Amino acid sequence: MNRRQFINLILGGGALGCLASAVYPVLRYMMPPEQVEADPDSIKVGSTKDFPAGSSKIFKFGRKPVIVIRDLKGGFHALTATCTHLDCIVQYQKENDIVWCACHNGKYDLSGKNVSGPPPRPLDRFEVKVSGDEVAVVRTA
Amino acid sequence: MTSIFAVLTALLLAPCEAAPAKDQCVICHATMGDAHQAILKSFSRDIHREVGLSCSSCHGGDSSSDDPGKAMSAEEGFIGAPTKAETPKFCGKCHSDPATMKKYNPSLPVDQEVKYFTSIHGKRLQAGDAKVAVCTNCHTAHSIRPAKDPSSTVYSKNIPQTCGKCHSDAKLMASYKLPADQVAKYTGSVHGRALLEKGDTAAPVCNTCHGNHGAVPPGVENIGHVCGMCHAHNEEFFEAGPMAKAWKKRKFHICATCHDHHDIKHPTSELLSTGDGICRKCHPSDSRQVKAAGIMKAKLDEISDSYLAAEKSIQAAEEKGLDMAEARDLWDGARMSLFQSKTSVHTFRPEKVAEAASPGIEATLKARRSADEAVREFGQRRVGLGIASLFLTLLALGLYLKVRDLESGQS
Amino acid sequence: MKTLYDAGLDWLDERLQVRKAMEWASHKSVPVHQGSFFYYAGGVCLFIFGLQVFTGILLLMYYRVGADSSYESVRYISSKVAYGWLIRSVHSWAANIMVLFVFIHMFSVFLMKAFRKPRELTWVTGCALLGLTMAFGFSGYLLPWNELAFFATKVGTDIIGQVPAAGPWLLKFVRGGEEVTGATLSRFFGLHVAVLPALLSLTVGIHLAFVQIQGMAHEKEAPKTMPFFPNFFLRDAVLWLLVLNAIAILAVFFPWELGRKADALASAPAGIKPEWYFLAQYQFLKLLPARILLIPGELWGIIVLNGAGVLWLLAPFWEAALPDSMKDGAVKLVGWGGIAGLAAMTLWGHLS
Repeated sequence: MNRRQFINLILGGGALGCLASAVYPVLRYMMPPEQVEADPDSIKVGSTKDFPAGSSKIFKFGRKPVIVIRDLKGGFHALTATCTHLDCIVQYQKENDIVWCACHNGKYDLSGKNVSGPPPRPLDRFEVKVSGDEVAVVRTA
Repeated sequence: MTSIFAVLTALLLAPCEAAPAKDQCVICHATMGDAHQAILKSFSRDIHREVGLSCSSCHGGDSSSDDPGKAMSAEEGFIGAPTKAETPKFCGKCHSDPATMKKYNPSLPVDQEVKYFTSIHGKRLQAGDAKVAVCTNCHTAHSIRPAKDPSSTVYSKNIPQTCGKCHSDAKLMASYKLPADQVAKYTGSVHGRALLEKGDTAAPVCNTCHGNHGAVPPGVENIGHVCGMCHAHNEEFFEAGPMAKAWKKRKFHICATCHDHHDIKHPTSELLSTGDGICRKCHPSDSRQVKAAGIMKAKLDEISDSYLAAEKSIQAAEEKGLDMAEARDLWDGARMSLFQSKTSVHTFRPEKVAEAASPGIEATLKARRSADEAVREFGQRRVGLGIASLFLTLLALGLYLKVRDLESGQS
Repeated sequence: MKTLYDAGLDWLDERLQVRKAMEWASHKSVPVHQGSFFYYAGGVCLFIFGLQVFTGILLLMYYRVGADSSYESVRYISSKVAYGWLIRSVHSWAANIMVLFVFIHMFSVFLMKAFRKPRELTWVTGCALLGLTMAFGFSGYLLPWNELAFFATKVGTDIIGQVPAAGPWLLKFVRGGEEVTGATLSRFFGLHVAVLPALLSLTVGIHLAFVQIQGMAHEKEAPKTMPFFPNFFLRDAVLWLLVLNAIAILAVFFPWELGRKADALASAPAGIKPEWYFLAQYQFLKLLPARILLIPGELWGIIVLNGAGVLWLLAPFWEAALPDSMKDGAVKLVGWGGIAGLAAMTLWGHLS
């Protein structure tokens, strides 16, 4: 191998390597991640069959946990699941038809209004949309 | 509780008519000494003034007459300043009258006076003790504000100071054989710090446990319910647990026996220590109960250690500029399990504590793993960088040699 | 191989006269002397601008402008998207390095007196490019909508409000309202991804065309020259690769932080400072007393800074008017004085 060939080899190898080390991250970057949106406006939470009357489930809406409640009359409610007092996760009590925080006995009604105990503010509300048997939680404007 | 306070403020009157356009009381007293002017000044922001009441509404007399003799005559119903003993009745003229109160604030209760006479303060006043607190001692006489107003003497954050005016006065309290350290103790307690340092106005203050108008120390019988208003599970678990019976038999305070009162500290697992923990006060060191305490303590230590370790890992990752939002969420979620495991101690059953702690331990381990993983991945970035740098350098070197080669040909 | 290359070239030549352009390029030469190294600075700026366009487009694939989504989407890019941290960090670091090289390029051109006749307009377009680059930096800084960016923008735009008469109007125009809000964010976004790239591309085009038309300064006096293509161009490429590598190293070892989300109601964090390339001006404004001769100190500051800017922009014209004996001394004094002044104020601003 003469000098010129050696230089061309270095050039070619270097160029290919550089190209690969630029193209690889860029292609990986362009592939959308599993969690498609950074801050979705709505999430699907399952079918109406997953929510018998008097049940509740907690989902992640973006970064925040949201409690989806189906009350005893069959109505849907969605509220932020973090108590406004000290950020504990609230739960639905079907016996009293209220949202309850176990940490300091805070209570909210199903519209999120703080009704007793330490919580200083209501829980944020979300809209629940049911189309067919699909249930979705939507950010309220 | 506070709403009762809010209520009180809208009242304090006598015949309760609206203020006349020209109030002769104000006209005359404004020209008098500093003490008179100070009262007028402070009254300008009083809730009663804001709802349209004036001097004569409480003190009686004829505020439209410019003749002091007539304006402040008994015929015109002038009462003047009430003595301490007269004060509750003086305020109660309106505040105990549903018909009057309805005109100003229908949601305000009208039982303050009745409640007051059930309190220690009220009973002593009736017995002729003029040193006890009456309405004005807590609410002031002429600067009364609703309890939800931060400038009010009965706003939650100001209550320790208001009660402390008397209850921190060692000399005065000594005459009742009472301690005078409650406010100091409260200020350093978990509740006092939540209220006064963190500004959590939901934290209990003097009147939350003692009542406001019917202020009495909560008795042995009902202290559990008072604490249980917020610490519902703690009370529920304790009452259903094996200790409740023994507590009743020995007339122990349900909560205060272990947690004290006024200076309630944030409880640590040391309370369960098999060496000098609180359980050892009754149970011998080799007893089944102390062993159970040891097991519960170990579980609590496990979850709190895991919690702290996870935070350390997350912080280490964040210091590297990595986004640990997910791990933080997991970690935040574990805090609840940490609370609940502590609460479960009141069942005095180690398996219940373990059950409450396990989701938290799991979550903190997961958070910690993902933070450690992120840090490891951060290290791998350097490997990728190394490879890329190698090729970049190689290409740069190739180009350089090419230029040299070219130039040696050109020259 | 050769024939294919030639055939391709022929095909292009018949349509676009490429051979003519190549022939022309081969005559372009670069003087070789002690200061030759600084000739590469302009090329680095051009390279980084290309890099910024590329990474900027990549960021646009996930970035969503808006007070509720900007911060979240940037956080998403740097935590969820594969190599998102790399693209974002490269974009942020490259922006800073670009400003640095623009300054190096500018001061070296000034001190080499390359702005003299007939290159006055090249200098003026260069000054415009400096302004555009800084506007890029300022507008891009707000886009992640984090606490630091929010307050830096608030403080930075506050100064505009001090302009006499038009101040309040200008402030409203820049912010899209009385305060820094989502409306400001939209405006800055539009500026950053549409207006400025177009303006900068156009101005760079003119700037480069001028350089091609006039050739390099000092070509005649230089002891030696080298052909632009391929000798100088390949050297350019070597430096670009080194700069790219440096940016990659910075991006990996010092990933750009996101911080906390902007909150208009939160109090400003302590020690809030603008980006380093605005620090000198910021420090200067901070030093001025509240009032000088009844006029607000900040207004004086704006007058002085703008005056200095205009003098700098018009350097080729006033320098030409000076007596010959003073010319070299004046350039040396103003150039080194400017560098020393900016460096000192920046350092002071950084340490205080």
